[in-house]
Amino acid sequence: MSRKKVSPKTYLFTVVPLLAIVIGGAIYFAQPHDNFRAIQPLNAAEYAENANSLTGNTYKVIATVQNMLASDPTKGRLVSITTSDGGNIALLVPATFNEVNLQKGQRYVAEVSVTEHGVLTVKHMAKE
Amino acid sequence: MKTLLSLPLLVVVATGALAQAPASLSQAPTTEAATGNVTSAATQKLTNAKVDPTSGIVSWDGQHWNITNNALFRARFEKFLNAPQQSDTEFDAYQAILSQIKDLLDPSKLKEGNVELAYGLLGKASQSQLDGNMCSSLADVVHTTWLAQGERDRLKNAEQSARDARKDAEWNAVVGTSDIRPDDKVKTGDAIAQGMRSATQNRDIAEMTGDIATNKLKQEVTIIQAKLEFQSFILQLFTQRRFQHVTIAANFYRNIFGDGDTQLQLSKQAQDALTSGSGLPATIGILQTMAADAERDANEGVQSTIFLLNKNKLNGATEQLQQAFVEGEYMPELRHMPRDQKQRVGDYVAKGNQLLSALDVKDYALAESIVNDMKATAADFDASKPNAAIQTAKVSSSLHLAKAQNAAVAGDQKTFEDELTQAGNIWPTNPDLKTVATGLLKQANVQQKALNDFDALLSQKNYRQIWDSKGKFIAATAQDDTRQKQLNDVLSQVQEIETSITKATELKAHGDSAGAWECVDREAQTYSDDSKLSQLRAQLTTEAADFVHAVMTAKDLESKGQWGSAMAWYLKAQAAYPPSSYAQVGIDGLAKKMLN
Repeated sequence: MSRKKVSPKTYLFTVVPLLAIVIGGAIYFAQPHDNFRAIQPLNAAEYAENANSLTGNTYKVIATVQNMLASDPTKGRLVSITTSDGGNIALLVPATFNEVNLQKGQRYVAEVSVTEHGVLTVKHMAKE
Repeated sequence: MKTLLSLPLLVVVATGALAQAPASLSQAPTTEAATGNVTSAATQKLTNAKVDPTSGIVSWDGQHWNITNNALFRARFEKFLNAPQQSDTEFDAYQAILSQIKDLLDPSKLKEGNVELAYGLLGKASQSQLDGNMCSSLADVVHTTWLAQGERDRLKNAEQSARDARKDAEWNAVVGTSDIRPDDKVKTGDAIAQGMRSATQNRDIAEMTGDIATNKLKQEVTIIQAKLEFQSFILQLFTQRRFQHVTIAANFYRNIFGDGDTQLQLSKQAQDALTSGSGLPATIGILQTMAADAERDANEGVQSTIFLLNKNKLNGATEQLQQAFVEGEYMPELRHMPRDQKQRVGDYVAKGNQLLSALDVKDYALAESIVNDMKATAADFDASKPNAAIQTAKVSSSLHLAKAQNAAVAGDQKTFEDELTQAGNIWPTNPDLKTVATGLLKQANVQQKALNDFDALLSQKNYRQIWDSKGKFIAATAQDDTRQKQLNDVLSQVQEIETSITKATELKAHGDSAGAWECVDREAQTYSDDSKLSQLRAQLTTEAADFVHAVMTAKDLESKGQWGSAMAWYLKAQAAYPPSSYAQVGIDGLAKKMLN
């Protein structure tokens, strides 16, 4: 039986693009998914200067957990974090995230909103 | 010693006897009367006179005095000590005359005309200043006696004339009546005339007999009076301690009154004083012997004095010279003593008198100084008694003073005054007395001023100033309960501040400026007026600037309701100084708020 010989053009126009798609997809899926890319990161220095002025805004925070400052089963937990820009601030993690096991040194990406008295409250968070 | 002890008594006897003698003689010219009147009040008291030879104390008529320690004696003794030494030439010349007189009157060498020659030398001796007119007075007495003896001779002649006249009268009376015989016829008128003549003659004879008796009595009285005057003069010389003159006068007496009667006409008490109660009669001879003894004692006293002075034993020398002076103030050996030797004794006596005065007025500091001086000067000075008196008084005064101080501290005014008075009574010149009294008075003023200062500082809340002067205020408020409580509160507060400052200083020394600031700042919240705390706080604020800024900013933001920002600053402060209690408290407080 005779084999049909594939031409080089065929390779060039079919296999290479397919291979590129496969590799690209692999790379894409290999990258972490950033659901808060569209959110503006929090400027820690600005926050420390006047948090109340930021009330109502939503920010993305990349946080490294430092200490559990306080907790309430119904209200949630207050933790101190270090921001990616070196600031030390506190995040209120509501009780809805009680299943999240917060430990010192863990890094999280969170969407936070500035609530009354300039308190940063987590809306969404994911381990980075 | 026997003579020495007798002398003061003899002075008493003689003073009384001589004072009474002239009156006795003028009032009663008999021996009995004269001796009876010599028994004067003074001689009566003499029986009670006593001498304590161990202390030299004489007791008489209820009085007691030390022979050598009375103003009169001291004055005379000091006069003697300061008198210049008599010149050798004058002294020798005078002594030569007295020796010549003694030789002329010496019973073993007595010749016709010696008494007159000796009498003539009395005038020569009295020209010397050393004599003090004693020889002149003796010459007067001798002359008076001779006059009395001349009067007796005249009376004797008158008596003889009276006897002759009476004999003639008796003869005439016998012859006149023998012409008439019993059987004679006489005329009646002639008989009467004859009888009257006979009666007149008998009366004349009786008067003549009376005159003769009177004249005889006058002779006896004249001579007794002369003897008494002479004896009085010798006694006077004896009491004046003119012992050389006593010897000379006694020899004159013996020669003038050659009847061998030398018994002194004195009362029994006075005689007993002279004869030490032996019962033997007091005679001129006894006086002469006592004078010789006194003369010898005085001479030995002077020699002993000079010997002790050479040994630097001033105390013994002074005692010896005083005794010699008592016995023989006018003895030539004493008068001839070198002035520099006398002045050494004089200086010692002056110091002794100063010591007595200092002890009298209770100036024990001066007394102690004099005692030390005397110890250095006199090898035999016994300082034990004055030192005991001085130290006893000093210690006693100091004890009362200490009690006064304690009473003052305790606020016991009465005891304070009593003790201070007693301390002053015991030792009025105690230097501590003035110091303590002045100090306590000053203390009273200082105390009031301190209380005023305390009130002012308290009202100003200047606790630091109160703390710095706490010693003064503790003393001042000791008796004031209210102020004492206020002071204790202030001191407790400042003590707390001081503790914080000490702790902060230690933290700073270990490089922990933030901790030191936090320590100081916490105290400053309460004691913001404390200057020392404020000063340290300011210094530490600079040294821990970042931490302080974080904390202060956090607090400021928290107060403004900026909980989120405040938390950020607290966390920053905690990151800078993890042990910070300020940060922890702030974080905890905000966390609680944030969760509610």
